[in-house]
Formats: sequence, C-alpha cells, structure tokens
Amino acid sequence: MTTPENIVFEKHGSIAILKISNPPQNYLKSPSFIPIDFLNELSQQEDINGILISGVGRHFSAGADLNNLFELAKDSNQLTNAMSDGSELLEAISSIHIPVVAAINGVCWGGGLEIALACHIRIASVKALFAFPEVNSNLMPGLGGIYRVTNLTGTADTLALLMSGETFDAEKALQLHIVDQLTSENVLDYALQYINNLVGSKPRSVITSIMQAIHNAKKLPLQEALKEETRMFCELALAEAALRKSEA
Amino acid sequence: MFETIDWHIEDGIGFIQLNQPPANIMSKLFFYEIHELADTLLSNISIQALIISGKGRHFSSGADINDLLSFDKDKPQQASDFYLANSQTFSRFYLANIPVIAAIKGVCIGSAMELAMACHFRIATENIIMGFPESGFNLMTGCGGSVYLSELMNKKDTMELLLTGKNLDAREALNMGIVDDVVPKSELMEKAVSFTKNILLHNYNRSLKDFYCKKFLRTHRDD
Repeated sequence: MTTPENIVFEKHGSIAILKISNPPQNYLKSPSFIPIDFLNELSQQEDINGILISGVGRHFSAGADLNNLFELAKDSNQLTNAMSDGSELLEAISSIHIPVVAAINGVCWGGGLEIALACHIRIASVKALFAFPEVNSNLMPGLGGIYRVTNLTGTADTLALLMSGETFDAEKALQLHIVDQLTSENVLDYALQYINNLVGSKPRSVITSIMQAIHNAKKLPLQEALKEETRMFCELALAEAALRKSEA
Repeated sequence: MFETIDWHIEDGIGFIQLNQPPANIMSKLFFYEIHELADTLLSNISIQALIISGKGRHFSSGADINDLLSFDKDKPQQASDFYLANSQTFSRFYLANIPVIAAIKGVCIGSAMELAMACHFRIATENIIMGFPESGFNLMTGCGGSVYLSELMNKKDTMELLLTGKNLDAREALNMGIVDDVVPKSELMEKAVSFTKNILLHNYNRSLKDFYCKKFLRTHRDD
C-alpha cells in the first residue's frame, strides 16, 4: 500500500494514523485529502482495528486551499467531480466498519472541520479552534459538513455558525456537541490511548459487527436493523461456539 | 402460569416480574414465556401501561453465555430463528401503544439491558449496574440493544458501551440519558407506579409528552 501525497501514515499496533500534511496549516490541496481507494484498502486490512485522523504539527487543517479551489473552478466539470469525490470519501469514512477518531489540535476550519465531522468520535485539544469560514469567501461547506453538524447541534446553531463564519473555541465546540471530548494533554497521544482502549485488542469480527450495527441503527428501518443485528450476533455466536469446541 | 415470570394486573397496570432469583437469568424458557406473556398483555385492552421489574435484589443478569453458545450448531437456522424471535418479542414492548416502564435495581446487563432499553422509560435505584458485556465474550447484542441505544445516546457513548463492555452506575446512566429517574432502593416499585400513574392521569405531564414524542419519533423513523 503506497502512502498518498500530503499524508503522513503511521501504524501503532492495530491503529492506523493518518496525518494531513501540508504544514504549517495543513491546507487541503484537493477536496479529497486521501484517495478513496487508499481508505478502502486500509479498512480491509485484517490487522487494523481503528483509524486516527490528525494533522502534522500544530494544526489539524485550516481547510481548502482557495487558490487550488478556484483553479479547479475554471472547469465546472473538474470542480464538480473533485467535490463529489471529496464528498464520497467523507461518506465512506463515516460509514466505515472500524472506529475512526479525529484528534484535533490547533485550527480545524472549513474542509478540515468537515473531515473531522465525518469521523465517528472527535477529541480536541482545549486550545483547538473551529470555524466554517466559507461564507467569508462567498462559499458554503460542500462535503456534507452542514448535514453532519446539523445532526449534532441542531438547525439554529448550525445556521449561526455558517452565516457568521465565526471562529469558536474548543469549549464551545463541546457545548454544541461538535466535539465529544477535550483534553489538555497532547491530543494525539490522548486519542491514541483512547482508541486503543476502545478496540486495540478486540477481535476484528466483533468490532466490525458492532460498528455495522451502530451504522444500521441510524440508516435502516427498525425491523431491518433488528434483523441485521440478530444475524450478526448469530455469526459471532456460531464462530465462538466452534472456537470453544475446538479448544475443549 | 409461568415458571420464570410472575405477572398480575392492578389498577389498569400490567406488572411483569422476572422471577428466577437471585439473578433472574434469562433462560431459553424465559424467552418463550416472555413472548407468550407479551401476546397476552399487549392484546388486553384493559391494560393501560406495563411495568417490568425483577424479583429480589436484581433486575436480571441477562442470558447465560453457555446457554447462548449451546445451540445445536448443525442447525444454525434453528438458533437464528430463536434469536430473531427473542428480538421480535423485545421490540413488541418498544412498539407498544401503551407506555412500558422498566423498574431497575441491582444488575441489569446484556440481554436484560436490551429489554430495559426496549422500554419507553427506565426508573432506577442508586445501586444499579448496567452494561453490555457481550464484546468481552467475542459477541455483541442480539435483541435490539444497538438499535435502542443509538436512539438515546450519542455515537461516542454508544461505541464505548458496546465495544468496551464497560459498566455504568446510576449517575452515569442518568447523565447519558438512558435512565429517566434515580430513586431510593426501598421506594423503587412505589415510584415506578406513581411515575406510571402520572403518565396515565395528567394529560399535560412532561412524561406523557415525552412518551408521545418518543412514539412519534419511532413511527417516523422509517419514513
């Protein structure tokens, strides 16, 4: 698996760490910060139980590189394709069947915030800063961030954030449920320990089944979600029963 | 008459008491009996609410792990039909047109927590232990736990509970929004009954609005 450009890829035990890399502010050169194939390949690896997304250095990401974006916009097809690829990538992250945790330090703005919102859990440094600054350039978030932030914090707060473009601190992000937890420690170390406690030593089949069930609960009609849960339970139970028999 | 469950009707409220103390373990027989009892009580139009509790010191410790794994593995269909039926039974409480209240004390883990989560309200004592230990046995919830939990909790809390199998005490459960009230141990049934009667008597009581809101959300989640 070759590491894509603009990413630093590390493995710590069963956890894959992806760091957005375009220091100092880690502007995103393209709406897709990694190719979707890379993500798919990563999620299929049997020895990876979880993914941590962070930024190189002091910041998560300050969002889209506007010069690149307007360059893309010279050709409407090119822009549309790039944006829908980016949107597809973030949807793939949020529906992945192993936990994805964002470790947020420094600035987390615009497209960077949209990446963080696609993760299942967001842990931020108390010094992290958030914003949807798109409105200042007569733009709007275009990678599903509006939909995700509305689900977390409601329409009124979302509207206020989007229309003002205001920068808000970690404490406010926590109050708005945009981040799940704050830490005054090194956020990457803290998040790595957190995700290790969550899934570090669990069998992958258990992790992927539980994550799938959690996704189903939001996406499938009730009866289907219930049936799928029981089906996955039965698969795990059959495997466990066979294992116990072979050990006996 | 059931071997594993006591029940009676009083003042329009159906009382279901898991009756296999000390731990009120959910045996295969229990699942058959609760299925039958749900049929009986939910089709009785004189019943306006249900309260589910456990006999003795605990609500229930859920299904027995060895029981869960003791199915005839040459007949996986049979096992899967059994588990599907159990999940359907619990979902009948969840989808019931009358309020269903769990009165919880002591241990309420695994399938027992799934049953409690399928109820519309949970009244708990200060000494409860709730959790989903399934992942520690390389298993997961199979009776709707992941679905009901996702409705009440944010993704982080849901993932932590299901993936780590950690236990919650009364305070944590209250803060996470999965129990509605914490009451002294000696007053559990009394408080559960007054809570239930409150829902039934006062049209503008907050609890009733909660109930209709929950029902509304449920009815419309599949649209």
